[in-house]
Amino acid sequence: MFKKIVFKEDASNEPEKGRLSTPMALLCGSLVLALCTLLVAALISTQRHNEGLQQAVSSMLNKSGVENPVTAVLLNFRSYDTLLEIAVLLIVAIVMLPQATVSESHSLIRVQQSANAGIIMSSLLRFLTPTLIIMGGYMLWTGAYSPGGAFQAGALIAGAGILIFTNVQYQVNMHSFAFRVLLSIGLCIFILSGFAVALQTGQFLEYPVKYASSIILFIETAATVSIATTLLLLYLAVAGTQEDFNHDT
Amino acid sequence: MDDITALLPAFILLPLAVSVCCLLVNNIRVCVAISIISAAALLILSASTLLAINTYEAGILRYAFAGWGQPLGIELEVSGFTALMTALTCLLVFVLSVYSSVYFSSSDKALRFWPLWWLLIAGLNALFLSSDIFNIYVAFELIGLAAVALIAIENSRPALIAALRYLLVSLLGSLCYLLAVALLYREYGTLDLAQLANITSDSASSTAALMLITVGLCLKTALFPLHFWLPAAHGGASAPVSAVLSALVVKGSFYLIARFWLDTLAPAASDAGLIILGVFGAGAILWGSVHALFASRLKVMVAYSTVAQIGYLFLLFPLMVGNSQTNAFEGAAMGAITYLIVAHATAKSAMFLAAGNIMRIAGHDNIKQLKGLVRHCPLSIFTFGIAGASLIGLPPSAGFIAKWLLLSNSITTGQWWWVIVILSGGLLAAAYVFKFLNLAFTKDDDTFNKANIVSKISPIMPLCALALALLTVVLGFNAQWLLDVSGTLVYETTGQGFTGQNLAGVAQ
Amino acid sequence: MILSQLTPEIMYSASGIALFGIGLLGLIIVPHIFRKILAINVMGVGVFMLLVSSAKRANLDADPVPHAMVLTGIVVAVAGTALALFLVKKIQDSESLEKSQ
Repeated sequence: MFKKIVFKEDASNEPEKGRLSTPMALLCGSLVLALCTLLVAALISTQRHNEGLQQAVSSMLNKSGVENPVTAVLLNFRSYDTLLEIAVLLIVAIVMLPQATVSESHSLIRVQQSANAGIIMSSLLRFLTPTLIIMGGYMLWTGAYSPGGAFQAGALIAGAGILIFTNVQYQVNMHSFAFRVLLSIGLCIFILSGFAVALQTGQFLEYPVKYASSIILFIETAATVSIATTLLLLYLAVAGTQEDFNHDT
Repeated sequence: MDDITALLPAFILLPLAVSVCCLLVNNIRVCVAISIISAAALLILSASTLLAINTYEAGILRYAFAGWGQPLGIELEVSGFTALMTALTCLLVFVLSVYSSVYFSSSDKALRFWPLWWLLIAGLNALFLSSDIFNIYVAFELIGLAAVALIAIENSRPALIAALRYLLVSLLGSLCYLLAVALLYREYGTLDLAQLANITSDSASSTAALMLITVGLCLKTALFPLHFWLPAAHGGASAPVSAVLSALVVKGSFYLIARFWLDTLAPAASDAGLIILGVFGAGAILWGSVHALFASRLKVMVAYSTVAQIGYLFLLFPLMVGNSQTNAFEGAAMGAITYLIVAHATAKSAMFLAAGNIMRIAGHDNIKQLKGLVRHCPLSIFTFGIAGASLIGLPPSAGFIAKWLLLSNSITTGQWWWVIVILSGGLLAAAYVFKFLNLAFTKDDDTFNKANIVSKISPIMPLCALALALLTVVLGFNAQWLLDVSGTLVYETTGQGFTGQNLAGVAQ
Repeated sequence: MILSQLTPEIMYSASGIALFGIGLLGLIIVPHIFRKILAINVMGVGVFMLLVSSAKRANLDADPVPHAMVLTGIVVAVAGTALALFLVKKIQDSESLEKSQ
């Protein structure tokens, strides 16, 4: 199945390479079709559970510190899942950090005044960047009441970051200590807050009901920073526009 | 007791915290110091959990994250078996961390290695301790991505391709598992493993979920014929990474297959399915061993031997046919498999470390060009010999006890045909281990000489490998103790299975 | 008889499973790596759709737990996809490096 993988950008020159023969493809197709039919039949023949965890969540919602049940599940009832999820993002971030070829002492962001960014790009930046960041902040805040939250906010802010750093005028130094702090602050704050509340309540990540909403907002803010930085790093590493800065200086 | 329960989250949080510290300090010496201290702390913690678990009445400890408890929140659950798996993880992590502290020569590799290494360990502990099927999915992704990342730090083209293939397989496996989670949640409205075990039925949806879990996790465990990704991935990684992949990562998904088949989804499991899993296991033993015999690279040989050893684990399933025990992690067959997991983990990691040492010294691991190597790295060859003896199943190693348990289990349950498979697997293992040892001791014109040595290695490296190999021997002498602490051996089943005495007799 | 079974919930769930199947088939038969990565994402979307469609419970508000699971799943899928793309890029770089030498 994965024996023949084509890596070339343009595979149209050699269309036959690695492709399954038609009978094999038909066989696979019918097998997959049979699998799907069986799964759908299994779904139809099985009654779904009456309430799931809906009742459990809504009866505890007033103790969770937020009004949006999805945020309550993500950041309170099942916060441990979210903690591990942020750790998953950190893995990818570590892999994509460029090799350390320049000294660490550079500042986080470097501005090249001489570079000509073009009038369209720079005026677009002037409008879009603040808008995106404010919208990200709003998303983060509104997650407590309605759909929104750290990941949505992080994605918007990462979008602003991509706009800024694909511009030649600004460059981010991925070797700096500050950049690594931004990447890991979400996990750091999550663990530290979980530990801090455990001193008060006895269980890891069990927030005192009175302060639950502020603690959730605090954790989410830190998570937003890390998610935004990680997504920015993913884009820059895969799209590869920061090579010059990271290797030449 | 409560003290230990309160410390359970540390198994996951300490590795995560160490990972962040290693990333932030960005200094190899500090990383190594933090890592070894934390590994020692985890080892002590896991040992005390293991010793405490059996004095606890129910034999199970549960810790509710955020204080909600199941089904709303997520709980950690420790039984004798999972405590043993965690202890095994922490023990290997300690030895492998010491080994890695001298193994990585390039600073870039080392700086990447330590944070990823600790994230992988966090994932492994999270997987073994979790009692929540969705949380297990996240733990799988943590393990899968960290393992891929650790293979990719090798940065050579073959290693990158192996890593990518492993990633695709791992994501496919996780998605099959997640689809099963969706089916189970839709039908039962809970995600907790223990709760599910009480309410599952043999409905069509549960059967479909069990099938999806089996296929998804067999991909991750590399059960024949889904093992195609393993030799390149395990053979292409750096030595400590290969060791942890073969010793622990594949065991994590195996543990869950066993848990779902024998416990959580037992009502949906059929005898035919159990036997089919056993047949694939038998296929893995023969296929993996034959390929190991004809492998041209040492690490690929060891990796194929992992394919074969995974096959032995799957012989558990046919031996559980007709087993009506309520707790699936009890019984003579489970005792044998527990023993096999521990025996294989120690022997295989010792072997990978020895192979890593040889590769460091010789600069390659092409078996044919390693003639007469014993004069240049006697300790590594010695280690390879002891670990090999355990894989073959020669006394007094742990592998011998494990195979003995498995063999007599096959006979007492009247399934003598597995005996043929187990014995021929042992013979094939002897063939590939001795093939290499024979070459290493050969002396003729084109023997490996001093001029071929690429680099010298720190004496810590062979000593770590030797420590793991000796551990398999020590475990061979303490069979009863190991089975006691894991709580898998049931004494009531006298007449069939094992009694304490005849096992003690075997160990001597 | 069968038509009466086709509640909206079943139809959405069946579409989710169909997406899973399409992705699986693509993963198996299409050789190009980018399409394989896309196929895995299609499979993921199928699973998420099944999860979300099963969140509807009789006479109650939607169950938030599957929604939370999907959100977590999306982040994990982003991480996996990014890692795969990055590995492909490194493999392509090493290929062009070999050619230029």
